[in-house]
Amino acid sequence: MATVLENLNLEDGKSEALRSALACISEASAADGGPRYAARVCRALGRIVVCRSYAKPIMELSHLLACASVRDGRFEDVFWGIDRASVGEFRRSFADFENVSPRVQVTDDGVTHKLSDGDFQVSYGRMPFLAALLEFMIMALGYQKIDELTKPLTQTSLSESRVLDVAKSLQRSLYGYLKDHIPPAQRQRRERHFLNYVAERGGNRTGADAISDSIVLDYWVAFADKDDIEAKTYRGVYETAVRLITALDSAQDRLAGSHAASIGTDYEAGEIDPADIEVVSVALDEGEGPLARIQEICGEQIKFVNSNEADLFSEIPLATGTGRRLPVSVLRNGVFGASQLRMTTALRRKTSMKDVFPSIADKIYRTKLQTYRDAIEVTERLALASFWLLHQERRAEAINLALRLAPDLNWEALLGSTDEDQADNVVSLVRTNAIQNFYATEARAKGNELESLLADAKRAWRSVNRAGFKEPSPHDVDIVEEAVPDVLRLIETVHRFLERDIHSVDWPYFEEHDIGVFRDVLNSLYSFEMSEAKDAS
Amino acid sequence: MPADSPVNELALAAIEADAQAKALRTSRNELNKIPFSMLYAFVNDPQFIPPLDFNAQINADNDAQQNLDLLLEKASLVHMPMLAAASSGDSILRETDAATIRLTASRAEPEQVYLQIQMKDVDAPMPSRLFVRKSGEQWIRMNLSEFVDAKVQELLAANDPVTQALNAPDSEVYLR
Repeated sequence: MATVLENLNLEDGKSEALRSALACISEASAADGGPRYAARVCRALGRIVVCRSYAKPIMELSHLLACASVRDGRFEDVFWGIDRASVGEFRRSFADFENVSPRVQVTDDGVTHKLSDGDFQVSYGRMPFLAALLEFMIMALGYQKIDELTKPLTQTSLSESRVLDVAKSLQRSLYGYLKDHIPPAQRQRRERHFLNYVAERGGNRTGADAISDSIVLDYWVAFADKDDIEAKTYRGVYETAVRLITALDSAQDRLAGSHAASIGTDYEAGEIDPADIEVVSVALDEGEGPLARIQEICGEQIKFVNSNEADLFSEIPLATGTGRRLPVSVLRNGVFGASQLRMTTALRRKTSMKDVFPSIADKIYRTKLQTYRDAIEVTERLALASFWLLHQERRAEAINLALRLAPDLNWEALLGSTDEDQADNVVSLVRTNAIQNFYATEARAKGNELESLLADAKRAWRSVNRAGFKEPSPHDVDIVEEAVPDVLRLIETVHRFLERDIHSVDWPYFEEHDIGVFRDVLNSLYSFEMSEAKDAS
Repeated sequence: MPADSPVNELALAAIEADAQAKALRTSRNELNKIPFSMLYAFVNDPQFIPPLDFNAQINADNDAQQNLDLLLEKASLVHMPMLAAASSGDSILRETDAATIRLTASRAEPEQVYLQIQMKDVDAPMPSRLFVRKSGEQWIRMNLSEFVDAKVQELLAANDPVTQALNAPDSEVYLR
């Protein structure tokens, strides 16, 4: 027995070392105390470690190391001589490499490693992730080991096959480390159980198409009170269904594409290509959704979305496909999922259950939908206010915002003369002129479309009373500009749900139907009506 | 679609991987390793201020000690290994082909010492930091003033950790 426990502790210690190495990357800080690596970079690193899909990134890293070593053999100064591992910092760093060696060509998009037997390009966009991978490998394998393995890359004369050899030796070392340190994957029992239930009841429908509103509710009703499967909360079951829809849709796309015939993968024998797993798990990354992105970019500085609105928007499925397949479940989760959570909290705190269950008189779903509409209206107003700020600051994103806020805007008015026979070089001059005219336009309520849009935006700007929207610093303007594409994505996604996904649902019917179903199940779980009656007496 | 179809199996494998990656991102202990980026900044960035428990963390992290040693070795202009110091009266001299480091007691102020560093190649890049480590202890870092004619002189307190470390003949020194 002692031996089993010792082994368990040893295993736990090994995976803790891996956790520690990954935590070092996400905790590494820049000089201002902010993160050195973006959260999305850290998540991508975790994914390739777990999926063991690091072969291609290590190949890219090997070429990048060779490029970074070309000046004096010291790649470290490129990777850590910058404060924050960002696209801009790597771009600036490699600007010093122009004309250093014929082997390295610096372009607008990245660096090209030019070898006698072929070129290899690494984009600036990829570099932050490759830097995180390198730091992780140093933390895991040791600097000495990485230095030894990458030494051939510092040679003046280098061939593609030599780079490949280095990449393979790095891959072997990482494989050996992960073999010892990665804990075995836990089988996701709840998802498998749910999927079997769907397969039995899905009829002719397959994959994500077989998961419907009625199946989610029926599953919860059938298993909420069972101890052998974790299905007590409606929210838990709903989230399982959402995860499965997202993963099944992505898996279907992946296997239907050309990737299905990956060389060396025996599908008949049940083998799964690690690259496929990685691609599908990217679809599950909630951090890539517009709401998470806005929160990551803006932090506490710019309040495009406050915490109440964030709670509301997080109830709406922002991944394509889910809202369309489970329109009623979204509202059930928003109303009764929240209600069940309040019940369990009341039970835990031994407080009153009064008013934790909604009333039919509240028109529960229609009221909830109105709160979503009200919330997104506020976000739209903030987007309009941002247009005023970005236009005044002459930021490029102002043009994109104008195109989205007023798609029918008459751009010809800004072009001035639009002679159809203009030569190409004249067209670019006209375009420059149009941009200048765009920024020079002033707000006028009764002016042309752009002038009146600007007047609306100015009014919106003046009426906003939120963090970051009053006397913004230049850094605040940068944040607004960076966040705007995700703000627009959020607005578009919420509208897609409100106007398309739930368009044909008979809400009065479901309000009446669901209140009975949820009352019965929640009463059987928590006896809340008995508790309410006791509180009343 | 059967429950074990390739699409289902791939979807489930991805959900498992996602859950595992999330679990791995959450360290159960406090951070017990020093990020390599922090070691790099300690060696290369004169503005970098190490956290208060930096030495305690280094003491507890063998991997970080080895990584730091190699970083210093690779980045430094001059290395003066242990037992390279000679003591004569009131001064201690370290000398290599690249530089000399002399520590001399001040005659006017007994509680002060002069640290003089001279680079032998006047055209070589001049160092801006000194790292010194007493045998069995951790590295101490000191920013140097600008070199003039390949020479620099610093006035240190006799009880300054750098002075004490340089006083020990078996200390190891890097000039970066």
